[in-house]
Amino acid sequence: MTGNAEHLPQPRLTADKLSIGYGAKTVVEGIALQIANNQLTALLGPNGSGKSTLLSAFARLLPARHGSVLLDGHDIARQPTLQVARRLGMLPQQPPVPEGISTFDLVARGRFPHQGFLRHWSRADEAAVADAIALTGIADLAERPVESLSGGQRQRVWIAMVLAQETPLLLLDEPTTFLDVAHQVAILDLLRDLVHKHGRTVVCVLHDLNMALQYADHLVFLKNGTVRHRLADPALCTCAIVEDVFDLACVSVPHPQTGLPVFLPGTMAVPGHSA
Amino acid sequence: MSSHGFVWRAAGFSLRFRPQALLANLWLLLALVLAAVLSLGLGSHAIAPGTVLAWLSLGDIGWTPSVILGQLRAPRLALAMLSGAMLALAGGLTQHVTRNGLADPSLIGVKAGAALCIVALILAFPAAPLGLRPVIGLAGGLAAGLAVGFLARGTSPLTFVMIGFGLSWCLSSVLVVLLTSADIRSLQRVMLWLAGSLEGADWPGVQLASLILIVASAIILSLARHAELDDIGAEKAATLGVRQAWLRSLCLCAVVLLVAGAVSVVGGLGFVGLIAPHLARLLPRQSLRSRLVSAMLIGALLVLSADLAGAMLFLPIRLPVGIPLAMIGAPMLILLLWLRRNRI
Amino acid sequence: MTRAAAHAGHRWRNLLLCVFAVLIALAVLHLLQGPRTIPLSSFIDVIANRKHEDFDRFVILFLRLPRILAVAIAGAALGAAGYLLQTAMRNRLGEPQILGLNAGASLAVVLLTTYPLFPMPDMVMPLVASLGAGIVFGLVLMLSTVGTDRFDPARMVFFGIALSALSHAIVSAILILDEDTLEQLRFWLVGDSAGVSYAAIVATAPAAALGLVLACLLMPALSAFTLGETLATTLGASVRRTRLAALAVTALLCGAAVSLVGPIGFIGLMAPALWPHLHHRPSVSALLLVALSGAALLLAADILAVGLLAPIELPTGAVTGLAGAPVFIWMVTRKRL
Repeated sequence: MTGNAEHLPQPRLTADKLSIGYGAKTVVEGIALQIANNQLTALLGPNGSGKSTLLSAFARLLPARHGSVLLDGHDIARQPTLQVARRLGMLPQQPPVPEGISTFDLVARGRFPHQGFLRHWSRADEAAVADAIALTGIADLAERPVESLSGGQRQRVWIAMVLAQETPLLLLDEPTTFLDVAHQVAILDLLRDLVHKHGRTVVCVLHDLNMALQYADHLVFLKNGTVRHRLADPALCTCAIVEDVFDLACVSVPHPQTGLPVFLPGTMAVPGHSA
Repeated sequence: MSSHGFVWRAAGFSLRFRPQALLANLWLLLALVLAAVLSLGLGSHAIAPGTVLAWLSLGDIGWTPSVILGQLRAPRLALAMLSGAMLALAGGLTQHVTRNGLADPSLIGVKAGAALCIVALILAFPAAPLGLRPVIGLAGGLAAGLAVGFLARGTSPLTFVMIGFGLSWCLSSVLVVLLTSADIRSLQRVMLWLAGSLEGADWPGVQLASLILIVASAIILSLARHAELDDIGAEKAATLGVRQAWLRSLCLCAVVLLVAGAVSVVGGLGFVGLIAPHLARLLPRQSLRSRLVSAMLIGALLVLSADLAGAMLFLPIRLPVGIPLAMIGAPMLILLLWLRRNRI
Repeated sequence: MTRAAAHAGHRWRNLLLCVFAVLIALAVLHLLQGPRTIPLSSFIDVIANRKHEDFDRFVILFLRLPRILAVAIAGAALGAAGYLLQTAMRNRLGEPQILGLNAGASLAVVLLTTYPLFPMPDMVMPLVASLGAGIVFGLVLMLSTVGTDRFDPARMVFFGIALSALSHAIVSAILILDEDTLEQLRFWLVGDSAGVSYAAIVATAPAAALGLVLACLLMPALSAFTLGETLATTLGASVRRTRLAALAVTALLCGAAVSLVGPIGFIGLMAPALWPHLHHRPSVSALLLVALSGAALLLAADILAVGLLAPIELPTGAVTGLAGAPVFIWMVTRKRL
């Protein structure tokens, strides 16, 4: 069951009074957040609330304006790039698809931080890539060029690449956007298995509130660059919270199987059925 | 896994070879050596291949042929191959890093900057030693490269290239101003150099070019593993542990070094940097590093055969190598662009 | 006509008159300037047609005046060509020099000068130049739009530059092998307006005028393009046909300008950039404004070319390149393509 983040041993990834901005604009302001180990944390919030920015800062892609991101207790900005890459992997939103490269080779590129000038392809590399391919179920795509794959297949390949990196921490920026519902479920099932069966820590930005509720262990709601709510259990999510974060009147019904809440827009204008 | 190459492992080391890529490069090397031996023998004074081979194995072949080979043809040949390899390597890297198949480093300001400084040198101090040209050219090319880098800081690779075009135009206009105010005697010399010529090839030039090529290719080939990740996006590469700012500036320096060096020894050679990397991509799939090596070999082969064509086509007139190169290169470029039209 | 439309009409007229006044002022300045100082009284004499056998009269009527006319015609044609390209392609970087039209036109002229197939009247040259411009630009378009059905500005610029480089290479190969043509065309190739004869003006002016008239006729159809292609099609504009016509007219204008003064670049980029709001609503007045500004800009550049390093005269193309390339850089950095 989900525990409370404060009671767990030291969290590996922490934001400490973190502020980030582009140019004159501050996007994330004074966030203090601990990511629970071995849990699936979903970052939720309206467009422009700073979810992706926060995730990029966790991955060291954006420098902190104030405060810091701590990885294993040390400022991430001061740690060597390769050492960070061995502990923390990230999948950005829609990375460009490289030309003329097979799926296998793309997944194998995830091994970069473990390789070197005279370490091209160790047994560990081979095993990690094979595991990642098996886990994401893309074995039959391995020899195909990446540009020939469909959107759902590509997303699995990208995830396989992050898995091959063999990092205990995984950050994913909207891994399910632009996928149909069956592919969304497949990706989220995979992420949940990673957390619960393989002991990884996953943080992902999700757009679909109801999907997030069914899969995440931990919810973080952002609004206007600050953390508005944190829930250690999705069952605790209420209409009040959703209305507060998304400015949307809504109602909730329990999921018939899991009992977790499902949120629907509150006032639906149904044409032809005036009250 | 056979399709992923042979792997040789021992005590913490592991080396991977892709036989297809290795074989392709070996074939290219063989073709280059054959073309080199052939072109040593050809010219206004033909020398039999047997004599050339005897000379190469340090045999005694008499005074005249050994002077022709040693003082005229060999440095020319070496310079042709070196400059081709330099431009092809610079082109391949630029195309990869900017993710744009049309980004020829000679178009993006570096060449114009180097050419401008060298022309100014030729016009202002006609008596200046030849050895000074590469130094001045490097300074000019580096200044232009830095200017483009500064103007394009924080923008996309595409904007970077476009700004390079703009700066090239600007510098070429200054060049035209210089040329029109020059007297006709020095103008001729400059025009010949600008068209890309191997006429002045000598051993010091060869030494300088090989030094630059060795340094730059050492930098680039050891960075290739990092640069290869660029095609999945700078962000993704960064999360895999690539230090982007550091990589970009090293690449820029290496490219500037190569282009400015090539320009200062042979003048304006077009098309090599654009075509050679595209041709290399037609070879079997390979890593960036071995693809760059193929591009270098192809570039050397291209310039070598262009020089040979320029020497043989209009005997006894010898065309400056830039002209036949453009004649071979331009149709080839259009064909390649057409073949790879969906990937540029 | 409503009051607002009438007001807008007045504004256009005032704007056009202003630019025209600047153009006349520049022309007068150009007439006065030159290596030979000519007293003002001589000008009055020439205008009043009082002196007949005089060197000043020769300089004014047969050296300076044709040059000014040629520059004004070429400037107007290049400005209009740039504007036409930009509206038809919806690409602010559209410019004859950048997209390869100038290179194509000069290649055609060099080819025809070196290998004259048949003795031709002067009138043919601008048409041949137009044909060259059209062919190269057609290639640029074909290569840059294959695989996508939209006009990507950056791709077009790249292919324009690549094909320009190709044309230049062929030109320099021809010129290295043929010294006579090199001697004949050396200055013309970098864009030079010195020594233009009345005969050349008479030969090219009809082509340029025809191009301008056709461009005016195309403007209403092009103004529908600003809404986007899909919307333009639903409004009944034949996008494809209009675009092809616009390109043919552009090639005609470029051919006329290039055969007159050589490949001069960046006027087509700078003239529309002077008026940043013109692209929202293409109209005949906008086209005329850009053409007049182009003429004024090229006159100004020509004045600088004569005066900047006097007594050395620079090629006009070098001056426009020096001024235009920074404009290009500025546009690229500002737009963050």
